[in-house]
Amino acid sequence: MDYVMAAFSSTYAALLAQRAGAEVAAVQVMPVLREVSQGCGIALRLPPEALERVRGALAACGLKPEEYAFYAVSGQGDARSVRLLPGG
Amino acid sequence: MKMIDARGKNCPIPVVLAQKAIAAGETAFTVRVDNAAAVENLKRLAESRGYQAHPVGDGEGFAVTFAASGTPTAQAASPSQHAAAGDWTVFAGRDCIGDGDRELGSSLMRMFFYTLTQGDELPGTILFMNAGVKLPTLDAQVAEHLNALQERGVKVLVCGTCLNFYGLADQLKAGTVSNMYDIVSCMARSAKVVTL
Repeated sequence: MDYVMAAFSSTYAALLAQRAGAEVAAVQVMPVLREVSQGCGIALRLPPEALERVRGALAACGLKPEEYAFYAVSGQGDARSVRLLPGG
Repeated sequence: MKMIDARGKNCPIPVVLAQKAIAAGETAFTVRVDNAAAVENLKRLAESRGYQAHPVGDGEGFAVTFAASGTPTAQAASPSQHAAAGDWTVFAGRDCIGDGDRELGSSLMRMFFYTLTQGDELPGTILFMNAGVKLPTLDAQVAEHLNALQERGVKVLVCGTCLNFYGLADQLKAGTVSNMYDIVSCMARSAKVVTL
């Protein structure tokens, strides 16, 4: 896994998560990958080792597990793979 | 024909399931969904992968039938082949994209530069003026992307007058302090200038 992408059910949730995630990890704002959604969406990119910290920060700021999902991303271009991680 | 039941599944799961079917080589299959947004996402997916999509309301939602038209493509088509790589300029005269909510606009700006770093169609030059100079100085994520772009040959010019005006001259994290002569010259030599 190269990095984790967090996708959200709404733009509001993404902006809230951006603030909360930045408190605990080096998160970057990125567009939702095409493999996950063809629509426009704000996602967060975080290092794999920060996953649990960010997960905790999202819960602490009031987001429910059904409002976000984490994906493991590996590779680039045509070789890129995106896998849904369990646990919201 | 393969039937995928994605009813009750939130975005982007219906698209993910359809993508798996395409990756598996299915040339005709149907995805059942329960909302119009999912139908639109599936239609865009079909278009980008060389399929025709036929959505039909079935009383409990929609059934979107995919049918390969010609040779399905593994990935979306390249969005633009109009300008040669490096033959265009990005002009950032503000620190967020668009009017309206500033936090959203700031996120869109970070996403823009992130996306540039992920692609191969790079601009030759990125120019920052007025409040745009806050990006290579105060925004750590954008500055990181700009440094990555510079390593790939993109020229990043930042208006010195503007840096001085905002008191940011000693906080430049990416790019080169420049002036109006250089900036106008870059614009004049570009096939197109994209203003954010």
